[in-house]
Amino acid sequence: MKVIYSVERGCTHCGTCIYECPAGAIRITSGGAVIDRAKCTGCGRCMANCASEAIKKTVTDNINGKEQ
Amino acid sequence: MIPHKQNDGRIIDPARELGCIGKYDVLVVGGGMAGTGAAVSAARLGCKTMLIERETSLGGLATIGLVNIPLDFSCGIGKEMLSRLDQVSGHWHRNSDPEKHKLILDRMTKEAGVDLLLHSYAVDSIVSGGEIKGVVVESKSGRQAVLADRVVDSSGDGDAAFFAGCEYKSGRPSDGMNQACSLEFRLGGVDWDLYLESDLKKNDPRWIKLIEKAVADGAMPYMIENHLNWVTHLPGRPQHCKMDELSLCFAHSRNCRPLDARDLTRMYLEGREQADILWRFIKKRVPGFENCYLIDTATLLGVRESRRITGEYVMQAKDIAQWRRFDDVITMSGHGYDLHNPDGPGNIKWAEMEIDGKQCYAICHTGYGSSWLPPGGLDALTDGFGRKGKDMKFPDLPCYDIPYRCLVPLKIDNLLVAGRCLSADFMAQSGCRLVLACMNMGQAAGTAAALSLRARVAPRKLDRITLQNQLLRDGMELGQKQRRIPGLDTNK
Repeated sequence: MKVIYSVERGCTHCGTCIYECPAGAIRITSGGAVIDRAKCTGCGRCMANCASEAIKKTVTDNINGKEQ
Repeated sequence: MIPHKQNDGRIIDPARELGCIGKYDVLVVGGGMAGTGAAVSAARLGCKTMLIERETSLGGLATIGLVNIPLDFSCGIGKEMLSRLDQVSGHWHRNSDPEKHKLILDRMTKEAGVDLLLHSYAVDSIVSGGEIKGVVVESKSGRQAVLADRVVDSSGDGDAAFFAGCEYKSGRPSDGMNQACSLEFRLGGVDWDLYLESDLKKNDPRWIKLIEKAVADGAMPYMIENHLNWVTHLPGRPQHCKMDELSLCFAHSRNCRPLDARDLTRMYLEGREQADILWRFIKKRVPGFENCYLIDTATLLGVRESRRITGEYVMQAKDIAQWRRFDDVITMSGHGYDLHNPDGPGNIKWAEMEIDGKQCYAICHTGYGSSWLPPGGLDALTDGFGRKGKDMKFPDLPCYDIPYRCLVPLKIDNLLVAGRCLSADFMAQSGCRLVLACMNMGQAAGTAAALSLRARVAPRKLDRITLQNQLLRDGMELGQKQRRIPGLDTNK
């Protein structure tokens, strides 16, 4: 089982998640913040600090990241 | 009492002797986020510290201004503050509860041993031989003096530095117009879960199309702002029961002169009228807000920019677009250009500058979603090095340094500035003015005041390595994890 954090629509590009991420797994693209699942350690600091509540937590049991 | 001279109509304030409140090591003018950071850090380093604040609580815009969105780097005193807010359910998702925030700041200053004086306006500075010696305050107790060996001006408008005769700039270079001001307001009775799941939040999160339509069909009588700047969800209140409370940055006053009491009055009245228009429009058009009501408008107007005190270094727009690092870094910011248009709706997230001899419109990162575009539109945008389109490159950790020299005003000694009145040009200041950026600058200024006293040197002459090592000991982040800063203890 793996916890996956993903950025939904509604990202305001503020960048807070990038500074909070201890794994350096987040970068900003023109579509908003993107979390690199390979680097993500699942700590959840991005979601806890996202001021626009745009980051969603899903729990999956397969490594392809399919939602359960 | 001032005698009214009938003959020539002039009113002369006669010379008079002022009572002295006390003599302090460090006097901090303004108890917003920067001032609180400065006072707490100076007091913790053993200085006898006074903090004066014109309003009735600490926190400034972050509390009574309802800007309850403490963004930018959380480190040092700012991080401690957020974790204390966490303990009382006063913080989530970088949204804070303004009321709990006030109380936490009260406690932090009290515990540090800061002598706090509320309801007191700084009305003049006491200067002798190029050094600031104190400040004159006006309050219910009358006009009194406070003397201090070091003064930190965190008044936002740079009042103490201005009274001391420091050079400053205000507004945009072409015409002196200041950034737009906002009066934030709170709404209650919102079904936040319904809003989060709505198509509007998913497809038009900044309400750009919604507002366009509302202006076209008259639901919004005029274009107050072309997008929702931010909405925060107040923590520790009823939730998941259709009774959520929110704070919104939406109202905007343009063509403002935030250093003029008449115009400030105009903006407060206009802000309250706008809040009335906006909450009715929101109630009608935004899913989840069907039963919402206006709780209050802020008691402090959100002035984004006024005086920028000229210091040993002036932060340039280019420094931000190029994510520049400085050896004398005292804090970092990750916020790019965020200029609230002085004379029309919308934000401007690009800056015109010359890069390698070419006229460019540079952006800081790709988050320019709601911005007005420059002539030539999207295609004209470049990164800080003049690269266009797909060639644009931005660092993985997009942040830039604020150097110590930006807190040290020219000419006047023993004075430091912190907060939005730092030494920066118009576009650079639009980036480094967020809640935690101000608090971090405050912590640096308070620490510099204390260390310069300890070393018996003017703050201008303070060894930056001594300052930075102290800041690192106190939990500040200077980017030492990403790069080597020459001379520091904790280089990796």
